[in-house]
Amino acid sequence: MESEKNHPQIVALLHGDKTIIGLLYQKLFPKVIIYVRNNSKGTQEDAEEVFHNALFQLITRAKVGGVQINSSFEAYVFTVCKNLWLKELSNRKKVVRNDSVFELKANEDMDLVSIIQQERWELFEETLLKLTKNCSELLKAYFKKVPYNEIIKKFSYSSENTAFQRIFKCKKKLAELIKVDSRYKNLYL
Amino acid sequence: MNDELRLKIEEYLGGIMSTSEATLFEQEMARNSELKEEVILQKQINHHLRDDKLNAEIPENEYTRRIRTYVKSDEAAHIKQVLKGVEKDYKERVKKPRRKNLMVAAILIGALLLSGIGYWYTSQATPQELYASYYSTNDLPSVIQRGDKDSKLAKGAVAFQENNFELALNYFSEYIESTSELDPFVYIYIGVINMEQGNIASANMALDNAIDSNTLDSSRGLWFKALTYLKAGDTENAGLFLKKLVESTTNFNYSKAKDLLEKL
Repeated sequence: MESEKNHPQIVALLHGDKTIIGLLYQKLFPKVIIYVRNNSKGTQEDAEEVFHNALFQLITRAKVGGVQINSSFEAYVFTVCKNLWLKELSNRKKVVRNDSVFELKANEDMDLVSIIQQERWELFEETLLKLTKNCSELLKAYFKKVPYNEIIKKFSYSSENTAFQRIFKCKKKLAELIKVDSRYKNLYL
Repeated sequence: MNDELRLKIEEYLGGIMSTSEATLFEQEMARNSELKEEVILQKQINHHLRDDKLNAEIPENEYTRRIRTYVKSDEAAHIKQVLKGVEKDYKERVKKPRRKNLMVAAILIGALLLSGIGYWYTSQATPQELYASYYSTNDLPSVIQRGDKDSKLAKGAVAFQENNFELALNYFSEYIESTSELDPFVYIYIGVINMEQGNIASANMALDNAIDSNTLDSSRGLWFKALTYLKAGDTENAGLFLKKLVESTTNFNYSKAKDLLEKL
């Protein structure tokens, strides 16, 4: 069912409004081409696929559950495109699969996987903002494999153990906040 | 869940458990659904913070089933076709960069920039009040002049003037079925009837046919699409159509569109 939460331009997308979609192409597609070309030398065709998939993803989400946009619509679509392109680049780095049946299944589920990943990404990013600045920066540093001695220095901890305890608590808080979000059930259970 | 168990999860995900410990932990997960959910979440958190885009473990639940069903539906296939069609049109336009196209692009960019500024202004009138003051049946094409009084087209127009929208729609639908030519006039009437009745999707579909006709009345379709969105309270999309209209002084209701755009 179409959600009342949907942004006006998503409603126009849902209606298959060719003029609005055309305007989106004029306004946003050139930016997507530049991004894709400048990141790992993607092609025009790559950008076309990314943009097409991003719009289709938004339509599907709007149709199935609604899309809540907290930024501008254009900025939001661009973020979806960026995430899709980064995911595609990661996929390309994987070992080439020879099993055609596997490929077919992968294609069938591609839209679903992209949607769930995008929604999880949004949930994480929004939840990280709910943590204290210290906590979110600490978690990012830890998972970017910044060495413990640098973390201790940057965050003024007395020892590696104190840093670990703090990381543990921040991660626990992050998990708690995610679990109470209404989206958690759809995305994880 | 206690911290001791959380630490075990960290050890398990970090790969620092021995094989036998990991096996026992997995057996515990199979028995304890709460533990299993926590492990999945912690794993996702790790993936996200490591910026790993490859993790694709998707749950089987009502939401993912609804997504799967929609993706495989005819409606989704139609939307994909529409998107591909617009992409094709866009590529063709970009391939033929003519002076006129460049001017249109410049005007469009200007208009889009103005839209940003536009958000800062508030109008005294509501979208529906603006709709009421700008919608006029005088802007509809005169169908009667084009045919015989007894034709389905003429009968439909008369029914429309008498506010008998249902009857008008019947005549217009019959007219469309009886001819192979795309008549933008009829689609504008059908669009306006749906607009008046608040059926945005149907109004848009009909008006898109008028816009796609590439006749002089294409821009009349743009005008009524702007009004359709205005009636629905959607000033943002209404503004996009008005901006298209003010791209050329020869477009239908150019001055009115400019005036209305300023008020949005």
